[in-house]
Amino acid sequence: MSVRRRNFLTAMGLGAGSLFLPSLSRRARASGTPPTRFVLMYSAQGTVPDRWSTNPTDQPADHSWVEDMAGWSVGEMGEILAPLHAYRSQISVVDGLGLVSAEADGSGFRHERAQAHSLTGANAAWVGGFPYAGDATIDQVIADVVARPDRYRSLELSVGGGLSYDGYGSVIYRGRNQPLPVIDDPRLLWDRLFGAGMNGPIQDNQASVLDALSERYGALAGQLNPVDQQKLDAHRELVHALEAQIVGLAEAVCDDVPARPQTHGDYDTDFAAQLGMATVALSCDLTRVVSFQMGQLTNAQLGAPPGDVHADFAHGIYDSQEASDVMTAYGNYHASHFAQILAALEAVPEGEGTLLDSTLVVWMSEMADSWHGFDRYPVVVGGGGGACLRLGRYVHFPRSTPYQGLQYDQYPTMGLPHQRFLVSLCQAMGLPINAMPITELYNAMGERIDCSGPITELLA
Amino acid sequence: MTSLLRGGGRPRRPAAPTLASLLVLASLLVAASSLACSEDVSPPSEAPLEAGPAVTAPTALHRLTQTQLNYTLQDLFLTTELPAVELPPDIPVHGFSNNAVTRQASPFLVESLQRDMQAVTAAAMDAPGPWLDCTSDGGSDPVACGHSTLDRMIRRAFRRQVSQDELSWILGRFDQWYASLGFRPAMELALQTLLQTPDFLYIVEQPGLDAAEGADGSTPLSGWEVASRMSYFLWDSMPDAELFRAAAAGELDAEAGVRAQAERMLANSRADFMLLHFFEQWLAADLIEGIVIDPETYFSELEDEEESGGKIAAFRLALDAEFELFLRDFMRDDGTLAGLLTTRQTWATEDTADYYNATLDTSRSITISKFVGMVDVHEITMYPATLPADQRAGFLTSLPFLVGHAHPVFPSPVLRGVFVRERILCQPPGSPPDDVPPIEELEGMEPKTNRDRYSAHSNNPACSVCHEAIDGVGFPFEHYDSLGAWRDQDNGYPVDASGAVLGTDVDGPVNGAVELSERLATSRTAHDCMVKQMYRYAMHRNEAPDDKDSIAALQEAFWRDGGRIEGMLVEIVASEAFRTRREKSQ
Repeated sequence: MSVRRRNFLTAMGLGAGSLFLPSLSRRARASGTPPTRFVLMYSAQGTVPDRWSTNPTDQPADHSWVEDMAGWSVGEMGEILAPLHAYRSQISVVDGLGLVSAEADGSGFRHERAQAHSLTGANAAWVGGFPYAGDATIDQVIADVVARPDRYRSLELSVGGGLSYDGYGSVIYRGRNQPLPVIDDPRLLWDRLFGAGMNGPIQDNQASVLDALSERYGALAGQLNPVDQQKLDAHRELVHALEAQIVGLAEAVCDDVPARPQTHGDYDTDFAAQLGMATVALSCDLTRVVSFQMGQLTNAQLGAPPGDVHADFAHGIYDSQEASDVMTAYGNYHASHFAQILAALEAVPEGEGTLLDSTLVVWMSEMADSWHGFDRYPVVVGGGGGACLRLGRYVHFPRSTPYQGLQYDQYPTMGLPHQRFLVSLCQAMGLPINAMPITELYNAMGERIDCSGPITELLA
Repeated sequence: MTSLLRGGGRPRRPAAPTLASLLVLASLLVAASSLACSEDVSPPSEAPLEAGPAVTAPTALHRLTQTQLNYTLQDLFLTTELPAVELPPDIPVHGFSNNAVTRQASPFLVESLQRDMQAVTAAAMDAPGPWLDCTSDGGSDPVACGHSTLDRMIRRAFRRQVSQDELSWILGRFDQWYASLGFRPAMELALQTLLQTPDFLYIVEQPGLDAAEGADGSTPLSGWEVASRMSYFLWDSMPDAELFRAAAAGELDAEAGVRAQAERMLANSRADFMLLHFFEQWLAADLIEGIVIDPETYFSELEDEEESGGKIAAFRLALDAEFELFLRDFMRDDGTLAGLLTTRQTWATEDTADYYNATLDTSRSITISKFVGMVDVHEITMYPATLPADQRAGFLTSLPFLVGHAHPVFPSPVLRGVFVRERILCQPPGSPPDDVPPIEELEGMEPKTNRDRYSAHSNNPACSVCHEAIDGVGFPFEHYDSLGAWRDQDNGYPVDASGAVLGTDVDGPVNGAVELSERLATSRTAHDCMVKQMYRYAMHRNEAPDDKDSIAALQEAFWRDGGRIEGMLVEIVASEAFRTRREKSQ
């Protein structure tokens, strides 16, 4: 397997012309501008593939095909995605991806391994036998480019305690082994975004405190060993960024600030509160990147008998009708959350359109299915970016990647490497990135699997 | 809502306020009240350490945890009346949230520090104590007061002597702020600056400046650096005046001096809190916060959701309090690993005493009240409890453990067994194989008991390798339901609590958790494991191959000492590994 650093094509004029993809040049010709904001919803447990995907026109499963969803009825959307029917012209669905690199990277820890791979496209960083993310997650890669240096770089939010099971706290990583903490309590989010205290000499002079700190960090530089120095340098850069942020946030004007939430702990109430505040933060440009880590749903939310969703139902989707039904309800529940995000952004007028027009919204999950499989990995992308992204499409890929993973049906191949989807998101956001970051894999027979480049069917 | 999968749960914020609400922190204040490091102390002597055989892995730069920051601020300003600094949660590794691997600073962290230090310094100036050389308006000579105060504060905050450049840096900044804003704002801003320096937030060690690198690439630490390592390990806070004195006098350059100080420090109640934080993380106390009990199964006599909700909230509170009181008493009365695994003494409410079949000593009690959900106040009264010796033995049969490792309806022999293997024996089972077949598929019949339900794992060849080891120490817990209550029958069938210990020095069949605990109490494997866990905690990193000899020596010492936990702390602090630093692996 070979892994290459991300290819920043703009910086590759020297002898890298061959990597300049047709899709990129095509996009460059497009008249519109890419979206400036990015929202990620990340949910647990994958899906029930047969009840997530759909094929109303009876296309062959072993071919690639693209369908326009405009004329589809609710029934034709598929059971799990039905709540998104109203938005079918503002989203695209990709059916037939595979977390191929995750299959190839170690064994066990399937939830955690899928989390690390799905969001980074990179191999995990195994620490103490546990797979932490080995590179920046997609939202952070995008934040590198779209975030304003004088505002919040990104907001990491979670609902229901988030979804990293072993108490590891977050699936969003700034870089290798650098998880970004999440805010689960809506009250804390409110305090962070809107709770700035009164003005006074102390508040007005914070920039000079940070300036004094930068000086101290500078004085210490060179006196430490390189590893320690690196850590302090990272801290120093954050202090520097905070200085810009303090100045910038003082100039931000936010209308329609919601009242401070009063409670924390009810899943749907918390999500609504988080979403409301995130929408305001996006609309008044406090931040441009938001992620929601959707915690495990409970049996009660799904109308299932008392117990634990994961232990009682998740593994059984292929063997038990009841388990399949419960996990379908699980996917359905999150589809509604995704619809709520689209609706919230669409409700905010901006220019001649709405906030949704300038925001790329993505729904991804950890594993592909709750049986712990990595194949037929479900994704939905929507919102703005019409200039760069083709919306209203249902894109199907056959299982044509010559890699056998853990599949219930023991199929000898998998779907399209999901790196291709991550690359597509980057390019839709206008980032000149062509690999995320694994470029190729090899199967047991030594056959090469290409993981680079975008999904051209998605890009305008 | 917390997932209880595979022994997991959300980390509880290790916060001083939670503790303070339960147990009295006054002793911290008393211990800190002798402020005496203002006199000039000369740099420590530079006597090189004798080169020992032990090699250690590279040091990890440690940033103070939230708990350590709050304790340090209390010691720095000599008051517990400060707003708590609240930082984004740290991501635990092996259960320990002080592991350097995942603690790189994040934007939210830096932002939180900047915000909270404003509140801390404002509160400190509202009610200044002896740390400030004048009244909070600056008194008759504000500049002199500012300078003398900051001169002392910077050395206490940096935990070492400072250079003239360093002193000029903070005094110069103070002068600028004073000129434009006056005394109080200038003082607050200068203090905020000190409290966000790397020197304060990190345990910064500057290797090789005045010490020669040993043949194995290790360098002895300065006395000041040893003092910081010691105090942040043993106290979760900054050194006190006596430790500063010992550092200045060069006493910490030799093992004997370090031992003497460590013994002294362990007698201070700050060490109790440090141990409590270690136990909370090692023994996964954070799971208590997330426990979910199915009311229909366990509280069917209750009328409605509100009633059962209150019951569960009070139950969680009782378990939280029990965890702390149990450990406090256990460390005072016994303090050995064997004692931890076999004591029959704990604390209980009248409700939890029922689940325990315990005898309460109602002549003593502690009443605890706590806001739950910012709305309801729950009040519980805890009494010392003696547990029936044939049903209970030590932590592994305590409610905080048993309930934390159970599902809402059924207890989980897997969660309990994995905990024993991972945390008590340091033999984490491999993660589940890639092809876990659903249990339903294997059943073919309705399980009669909880054990039946889980036996499918061991009957399947793909799972059996790990599950024999997990279930062998998991099924002995089958006498305890999801509330931790004793049961002789499960679903109308007699409980089968037989199991087997595998892969240790005490292998063999075992019946019930009492026998299991008593067996583990005599196990060298378990003793060795506890040393390894404490080593990870003390060094802020996972053990590395280079640590093998260091850890082996500590394990031998712990075993010979009868598993005395405080003794182990002294041995760790006195070890070469703790008193030197390595820059890179050999």
